[in-house]
Amino acid sequence: MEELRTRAANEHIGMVSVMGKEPSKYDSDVYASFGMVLDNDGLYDRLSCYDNLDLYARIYSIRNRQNKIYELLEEVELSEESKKSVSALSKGMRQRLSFARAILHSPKIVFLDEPTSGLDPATTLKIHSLMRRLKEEGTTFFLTTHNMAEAQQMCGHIALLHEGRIVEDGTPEAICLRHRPECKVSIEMDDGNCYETDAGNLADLLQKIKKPQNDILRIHSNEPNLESVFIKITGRRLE
Amino acid sequence: MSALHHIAAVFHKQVKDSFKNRLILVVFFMFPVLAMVFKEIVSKEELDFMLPSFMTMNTVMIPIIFMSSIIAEEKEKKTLRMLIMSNVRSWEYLLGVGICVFLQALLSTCVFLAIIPNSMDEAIDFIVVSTIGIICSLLIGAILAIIAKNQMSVGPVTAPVSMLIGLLPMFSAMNDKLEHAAKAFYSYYVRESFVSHSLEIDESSWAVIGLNFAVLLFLFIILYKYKGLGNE
Repeated sequence: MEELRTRAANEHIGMVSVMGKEPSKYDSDVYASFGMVLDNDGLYDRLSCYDNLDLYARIYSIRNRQNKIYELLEEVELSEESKKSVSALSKGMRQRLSFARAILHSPKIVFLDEPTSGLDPATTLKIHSLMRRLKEEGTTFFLTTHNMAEAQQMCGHIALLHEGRIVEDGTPEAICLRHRPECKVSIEMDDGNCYETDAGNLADLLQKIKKPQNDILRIHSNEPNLESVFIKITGRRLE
Repeated sequence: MSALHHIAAVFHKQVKDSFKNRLILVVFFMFPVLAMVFKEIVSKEELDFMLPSFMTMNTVMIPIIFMSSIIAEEKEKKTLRMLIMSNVRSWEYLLGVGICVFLQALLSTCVFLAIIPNSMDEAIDFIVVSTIGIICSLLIGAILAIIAKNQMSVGPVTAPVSMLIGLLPMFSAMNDKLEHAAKAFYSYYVRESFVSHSLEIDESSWAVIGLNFAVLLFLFIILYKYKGLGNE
């Protein structure tokens, strides 16, 4: 999808359009509105964090680029590593630097390809919080991920792809609702007893099992998540 | 205007990267240092034979090795892909890297001016000859980079090609048959100019240099048109 958008792939059926323009009609203004974090970070190993950002600041002709670069390095918590070669960074640091490069020129759309894959939870949280802040400021994120929990948490609109085709799309809640089986609720008591009922009969059940000597330990509903929806639609597990 | 920005950005990046690239640093200093060492340990007659050979190797081999290895590395590490996706066009990238490699090769070659005493005229001729050699070699380096899929595959091609073109003129001075073959390449005339300390080579020699340049330019344009920069 991203290759089609960036003209890297030419053979496709259908239409690709970003910001109302087909790839063949992209001009430098359209390109300047894109930011990218790809599967391979494309960072220059021998150059420092600062120099890697400086290259793109020059390409995008950013004013006050020195200040902007230091601000961003601060934001992704890499200011102490600004002069360090990228080859000396951990995977999480590289990913944060890659993210900083993607948002350096304040793009309108940021394409992210598995941005948190293989990262520790702290780095993942950092990237997610940056994404949320930019989302609030009006940036659109186009996130490609195998992590359905991340998609459910971060995305406003989702398209599930299977064998090159979109098999389901909509908001995460709408997709889950569409694929909700007969809604059951199960209640586990602290004495080990377990009760199950339809969601509509929950109040009756609660009334029935109410005993002064026992407390409710857990209540589960069988509401589907995106992963179970994907498995249901495609008949196969996520890789 | 944006094209100039892009070329300048790539050039700037390349200059910075060169200072941290061991291959580039070693090759940059190799021939001038060898020339300085040989100047101290061999006789004047031997030096008169060896110096032009070192200068030719330096002028001809550096651009081929630098250009092909830089671009192949960028293809392999996907840094080129990121640049292209940021609206840097292939030709802007080639020009940015090409100008940097050209200046590096010229600077390295000019170190020889400090080793051999030259008049101003001879120095100007030296720079002109070096420029011709470097430009032809830049084209070869770019051609090899377009063909190569990655950094691993560019080495086995670059080494024999740069050695053939860089060393043939020296060996041709020892063997008549080799001299016939060497005369087909621009590097032979580059060495001849370095030997004679002047640009005074005959018209047919200029024609061969011109033909070399035209063939290389044609090959480069055809390959660039059909393959771009390859795995971009």
